[in-house]
Amino acid sequence: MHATIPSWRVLSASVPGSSHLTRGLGCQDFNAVLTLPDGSLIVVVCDGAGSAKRAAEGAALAARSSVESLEHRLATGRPVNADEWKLVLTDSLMHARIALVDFATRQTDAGQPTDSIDFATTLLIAVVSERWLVAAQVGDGAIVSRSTSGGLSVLTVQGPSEYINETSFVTSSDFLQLAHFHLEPDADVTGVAALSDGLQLLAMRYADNTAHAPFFAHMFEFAARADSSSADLEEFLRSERVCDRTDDDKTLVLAVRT
Amino acid sequence: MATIDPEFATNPDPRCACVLLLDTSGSMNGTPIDSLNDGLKTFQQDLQEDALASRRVEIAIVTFGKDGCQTLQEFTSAGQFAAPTLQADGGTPMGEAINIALDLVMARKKTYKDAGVLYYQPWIFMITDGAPNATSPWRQAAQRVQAEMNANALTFFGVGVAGADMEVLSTITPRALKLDGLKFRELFLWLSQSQRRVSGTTVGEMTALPKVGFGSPV
Repeated sequence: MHATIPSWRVLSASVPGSSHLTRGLGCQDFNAVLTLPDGSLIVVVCDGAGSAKRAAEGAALAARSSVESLEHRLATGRPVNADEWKLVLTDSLMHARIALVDFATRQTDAGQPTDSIDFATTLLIAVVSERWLVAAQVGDGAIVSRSTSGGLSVLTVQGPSEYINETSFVTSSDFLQLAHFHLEPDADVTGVAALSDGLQLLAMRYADNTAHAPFFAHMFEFAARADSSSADLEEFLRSERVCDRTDDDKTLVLAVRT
Repeated sequence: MATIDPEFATNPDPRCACVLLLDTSGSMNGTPIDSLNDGLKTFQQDLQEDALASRRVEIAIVTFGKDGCQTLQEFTSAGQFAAPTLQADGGTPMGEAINIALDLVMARKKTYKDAGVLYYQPWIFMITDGAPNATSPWRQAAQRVQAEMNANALTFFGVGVAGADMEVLSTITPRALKLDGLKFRELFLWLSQSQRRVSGTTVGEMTALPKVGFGSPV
């Protein structure tokens, strides 16, 4: 029996928030998406810390390093159980952290004193591979999956901090203890969405950490249309309607199975 | 071209609570209280220029002077805030006032939690030009402030106007600043800009606040 290789239609956009623009900062969000030859999907979203001097670089480096780590690891074979997947994801988080620490060290050696904390960033990872749906989360933001019937699952948890603007970063020394993992072996996944906290207010229901269905139904439908593009998504994220409610950087990645 | 028009989740705005704790004792009479009043107007105007801050920042005002302490204003959203005109007279029941401000913040947090509203770390912003009355329980209040700050429950700023006892202020909070002359306008502009930043994106530390141009750390 020949199994069809899944394919994905992906739209993604990261736009700077108005508060960042007025402070002369660019976008400190970064997203990376990769589909592998076997049809596996990797989605990563990073949100650089507002207080980190080089947050944008940190977000980009962390995202790229974690995708690279997953790509290399999955090329050698798919993990067969939850423990193995957790190891693979943990490895990927570590890769990102080491990349930031290494970069800081090299910068310091080159005469520009830098601490890895200057690159502080959150890191959200989602992988869909065969029937596996797995995710790793350090910091805020959300990952939501959609099933064949349109049901939505939230793979991420709300942070432990009392305050809305305090979150964990992959540069924190206790980042592994703070990491949350989702490991689902037999998942029915027709779509995955990942967003940074700038969009959480609009897309998620804070009271019970559920996905706001009317938002995601519309966005997944939009992503499935042949005439929709990432440029459209970007325009939406820059729209007054969105920016009226949040002046933070915003990232939204939408992947739908075709 | 495809249009995107989803319905947004209706989460209540996250809140940023700020208590202004203001010395209205006799020594503030004249130019100091006039400058303070102007500063309050600047604060109102600057906050209200920011649509998000107008919805998210909440301001309460406690004064201390003649007739003791007064909660002049319970928490009001910045959008609805109307700067009061303060009069100066009387002594300085600072300790009592600090306790009232701390109680206000604690109660507000409970209100937020009960209502499922998310919030930022609250601030108490005290401005004084003198020393507490001899009978005022300010040391006990100072201990309470230290305990709350150590627990990351709030940040307490103490700004001393000329004549203020800076040692008392430093005992109360590590965030003690001496005001340059009567630069209330600059002070309140810094405060509103800071509140606007805090109520916007992720702010982890003091380094992300605007530069202080109205005074210097003690």
